[in-house]
Amino acid sequence: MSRRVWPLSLAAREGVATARTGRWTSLLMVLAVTWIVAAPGAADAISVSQLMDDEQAWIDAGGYVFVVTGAREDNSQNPIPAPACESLASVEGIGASFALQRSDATGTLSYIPGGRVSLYDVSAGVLDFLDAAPAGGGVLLATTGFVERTGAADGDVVTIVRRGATNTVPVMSDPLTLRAVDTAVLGDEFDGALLVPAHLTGMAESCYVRTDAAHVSAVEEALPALLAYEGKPAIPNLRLFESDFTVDYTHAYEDRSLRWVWVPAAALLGLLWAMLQWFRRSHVAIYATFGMKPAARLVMQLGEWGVLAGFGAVWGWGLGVVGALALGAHPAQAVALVSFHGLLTVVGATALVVLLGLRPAGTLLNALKDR
Amino acid sequence: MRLSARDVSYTYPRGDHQVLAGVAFDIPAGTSAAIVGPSGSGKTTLLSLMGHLLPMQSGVIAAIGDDGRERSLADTASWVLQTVSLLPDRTAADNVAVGAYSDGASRADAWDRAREYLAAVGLAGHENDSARILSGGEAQRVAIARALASRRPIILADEPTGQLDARASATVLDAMIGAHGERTVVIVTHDPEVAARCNLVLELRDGVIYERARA
Repeated sequence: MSRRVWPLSLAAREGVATARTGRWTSLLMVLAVTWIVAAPGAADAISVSQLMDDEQAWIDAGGYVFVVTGAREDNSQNPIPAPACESLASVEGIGASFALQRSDATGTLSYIPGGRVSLYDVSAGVLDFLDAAPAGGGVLLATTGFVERTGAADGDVVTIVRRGATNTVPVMSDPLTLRAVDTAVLGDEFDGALLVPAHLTGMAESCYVRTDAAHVSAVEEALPALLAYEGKPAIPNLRLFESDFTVDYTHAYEDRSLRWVWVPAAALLGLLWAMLQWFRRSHVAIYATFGMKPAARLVMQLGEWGVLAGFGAVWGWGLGVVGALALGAHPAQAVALVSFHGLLTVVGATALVVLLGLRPAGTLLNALKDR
Repeated sequence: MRLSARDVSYTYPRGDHQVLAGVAFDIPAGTSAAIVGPSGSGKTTLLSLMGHLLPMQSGVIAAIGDDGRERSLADTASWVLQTVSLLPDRTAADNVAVGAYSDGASRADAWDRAREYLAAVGLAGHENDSARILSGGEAQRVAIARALASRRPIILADEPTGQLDARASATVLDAMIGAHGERTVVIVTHDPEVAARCNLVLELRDGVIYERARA
């Protein structure tokens, strides 16, 4: 009866048996895989989470916000068409927008005499822009500085007393619901002022536009035409200053150094496997001496690698996620990046294992050469 | 399977000493042959040439089947080396099974052969012992059992009883040489008692083979 020598299933079983009986060798290899799978992903997850926190703080401070004004001509500045600004929110890549017109009048709340503050008329889009809830009868947006100084509270129903610069006859508004908002995203100059949402139908002094990292370039390119006044393009300026010394969050994620950390991790695992195979070259020689062909030898080594890398990868994934979370990574980033790096590390190392397995093996007889 | 050598010569590249000078022998199928000679006489060199570890400089060594066709020694011969080479983390039976697998044995058949040949070399009951805890002599006997389990028609052995006492040595020689005609066995040895057990003694001296005895 003719039977196949070293069928692949038998070779795979030998590999699994080698992993199972390998004691310290197998344990050390599993530990190495565990740490090499865990560490890069965890480090990257922590790094990306920190980057996201920094970017969010930057966005909260006005990142990705354009302040669009008209071009200057003859010592005066062209206005911005307020309805066009208000309608920008429907443009792809623009999250919210509103037009702003500084009022000549100053105002106070009727029940808080004195303390006149600047008033700004703003279009309705400001509510979305500053994430303020609307209310029946209209709202008045009070900045954090105003609220702290006057003791007014969110939800108070108030009336504004307007006083013109030259007209001393005060004008009282209808009752409005006060909303306390953080205007840091707009800049410090609004702190302590009141923003009055109004139906701006004509021209405005400026337009505030909020976009995101993916659309910032396209939006900057489109805004001059979208807010042109009498054919003259408007001028968009990012609210926050950018230079070579500030972080470019648009590309920070792609440019991060740890993005490719799985490559050296996979190479390190491959190196450890190569060292293990070198120290155990006589084992491979035994199989080669007893008729194991290269394909079966490769399957045997992959069987052993599969067991060791499988256990190591599962433990490494768990260790990496838990470690990243313990060190402050966001859960979604911890899971995604530990998985990403772990998978690529194991796949890359497996490719190296295959390459090493394809190398010719000596037989036991090679030992005679040393004598 | 018959082993035949014709006009085999070999000179190591770094020296001008000719180790083998026109060696010729003919070992009939099913015969046991001992290659003896003083240290440095070229016994291991001859064994290395049989295994194609050293390139043939001149001459030919061939394994010839009953049908007269030449066969590869790599596929027809099992080796037992002086240096014991076992899989240290596996059991004695696992190690012997590797030899059986080279003959296409199934797992069950390989285990049966492992038990059979471990018993033949005096290691019955040691099937599940880890190779790591075996003594040098026991490990040598496991290596011999592995070669036997392969059931290849030729066994080439380099000092196979070097680590065995007289009694164990006799046991393994019984197992290796076995019944006449079962397999062709070539043993490189310094031990006159081992040589005496063989049908044929080939003495290497000054690079030349002298056939001393044929039983």
